[in-house]
Amino acid sequence: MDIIQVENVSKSYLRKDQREGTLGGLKDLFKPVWVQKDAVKNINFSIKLGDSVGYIGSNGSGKSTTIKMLTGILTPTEGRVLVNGLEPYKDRMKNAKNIGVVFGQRTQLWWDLAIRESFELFKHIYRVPDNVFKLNKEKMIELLRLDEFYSTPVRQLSLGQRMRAEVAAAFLHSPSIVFLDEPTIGLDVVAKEQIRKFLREINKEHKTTIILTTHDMDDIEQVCERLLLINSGELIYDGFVRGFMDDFGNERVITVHFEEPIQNIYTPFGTVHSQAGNIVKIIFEKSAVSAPKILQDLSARYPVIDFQLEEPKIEHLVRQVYEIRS
Amino acid sequence: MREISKSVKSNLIIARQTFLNSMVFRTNYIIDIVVDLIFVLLSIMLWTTIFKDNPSQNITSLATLITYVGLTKIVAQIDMKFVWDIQSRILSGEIAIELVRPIKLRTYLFAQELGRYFNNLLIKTIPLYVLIYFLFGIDLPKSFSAVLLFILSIFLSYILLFNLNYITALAAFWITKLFSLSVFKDQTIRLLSGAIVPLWFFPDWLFSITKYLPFAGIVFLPLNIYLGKVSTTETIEAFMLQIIWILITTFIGSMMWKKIVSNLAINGG
Repeated sequence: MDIIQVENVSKSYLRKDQREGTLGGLKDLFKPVWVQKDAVKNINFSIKLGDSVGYIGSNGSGKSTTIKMLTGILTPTEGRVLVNGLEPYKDRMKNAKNIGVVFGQRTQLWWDLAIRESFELFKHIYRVPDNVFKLNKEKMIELLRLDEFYSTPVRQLSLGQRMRAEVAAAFLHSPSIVFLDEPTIGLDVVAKEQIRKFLREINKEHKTTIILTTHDMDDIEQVCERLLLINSGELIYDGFVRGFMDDFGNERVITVHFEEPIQNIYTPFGTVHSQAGNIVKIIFEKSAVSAPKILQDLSARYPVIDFQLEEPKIEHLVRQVYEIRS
Repeated sequence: MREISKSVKSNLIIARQTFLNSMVFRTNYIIDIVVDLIFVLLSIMLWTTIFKDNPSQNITSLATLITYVGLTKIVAQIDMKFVWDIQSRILSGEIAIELVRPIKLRTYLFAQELGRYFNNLLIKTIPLYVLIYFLFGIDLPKSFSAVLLFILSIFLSYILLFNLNYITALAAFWITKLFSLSVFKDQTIRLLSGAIVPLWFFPDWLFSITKYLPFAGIVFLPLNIYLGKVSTTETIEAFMLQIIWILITTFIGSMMWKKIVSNLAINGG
């Protein structure tokens, strides 16, 4: 069953453009220049109940716009969105009851109140029956380990603790779909891991559909099965995460720091991308060789001080998709 | 019916949350109550002096005047706290999140302010009132029915005041900097509602106009009902005025909100 359908959806805004200089500013006042910006261009996809979908794209690619159309905040300029059989922007309240939303940068909890109180409020706003609420609440507390700070005011929590509580709040009313817009932004590895594990479990056990936007490819690899990649408003990839990573996400970059500049540096496991003094960037295939092996080989021959492993950047993946396809 | 009782319940919970919330900062509370006390004491001293210098004033008695000043604090806060919150959320675009909640913004804010009001009433207004009662003496209501009518009138005053604040907050969508408008709103209400000077002291021509403006329904009309200074017909007229202005301001507020929502939905959040 398709729980989300996006059919030929486009969204464009009219934005005022500023002219240059004082005279330009005066002209703007009387006759503004309107520029049309196409944020999303004719995209199509559907999502089944229980899917876990990663929705990625670089900044300004249109992913937030899409999420806003799916949650009912924005109305598409063309096309149609169906969520649970409703058009979200027409049936906002009804749609809101069936979905959960986490915006990584914004809080929905009450700043001065303990999490306990905020949850109590959600229970009433979403009209969650007592027994369901109790069950869900206990599960969240256990899975996300909220018990350590369950009665602490939100303003005293660390970012990681707060995000765990935010994520829990979005699932309290057993929604069929949960949208998470960058839920792991700014978190340390441990907190990220806790949230990923939670999302995986709840997706498996409760068949809750998860739609996740992020800049961290690890989030996608560990939580999602399916991937949608959007660039300049166009959907350029729709398929399995595993297949995508095999095809496009195989390249890794390791930066190695040596004690002194080295002439004609060579490694059998990858290619030297660039060199600046004693710092060298090496590109390698993740499926063919592991980073420790490269380091082992290098430090056997050269004096290595430090190294850094880079995660594949989304911009890089986008470029790869274009390069390999053309 | 069940739907309604559920919705009332969720609003009560919201009100309770803000109620608790308002008690978090103890120092704030102590400062606030001292400020209120100073303000009321100053007003009473001022009126006493004016009264002694002009014994010919036969509009009202000093005791009534002191009661009036003491009671003005029972009316809700004229500059409601949510205005600034909403303005910053409109400016940052965060207001869009309200569209993904299954509760209306207006209902939510109303319940929130109500919680704040009861908190104020319980921990500030009533202690203050009792204190003034023992220091200066306050006229108690003449009858039980006067108390009931007063409570009803205060409730209507609350809705009216909330609506005016709500309209001001939403205006942030068109006027980027709300500060001037908000100060204008506060001072207009303070002056024309009778919060600073009872409307009895206004010149006749001004009084006959202000009586029909929405502001009189906020302070002056309810307090007159408490003081028993109005006849039955005048009481009914006062209620009618309050209700008419509530309807008008509710309509304006909901039109503004509709406009904001459609603008957000079309032009981006």
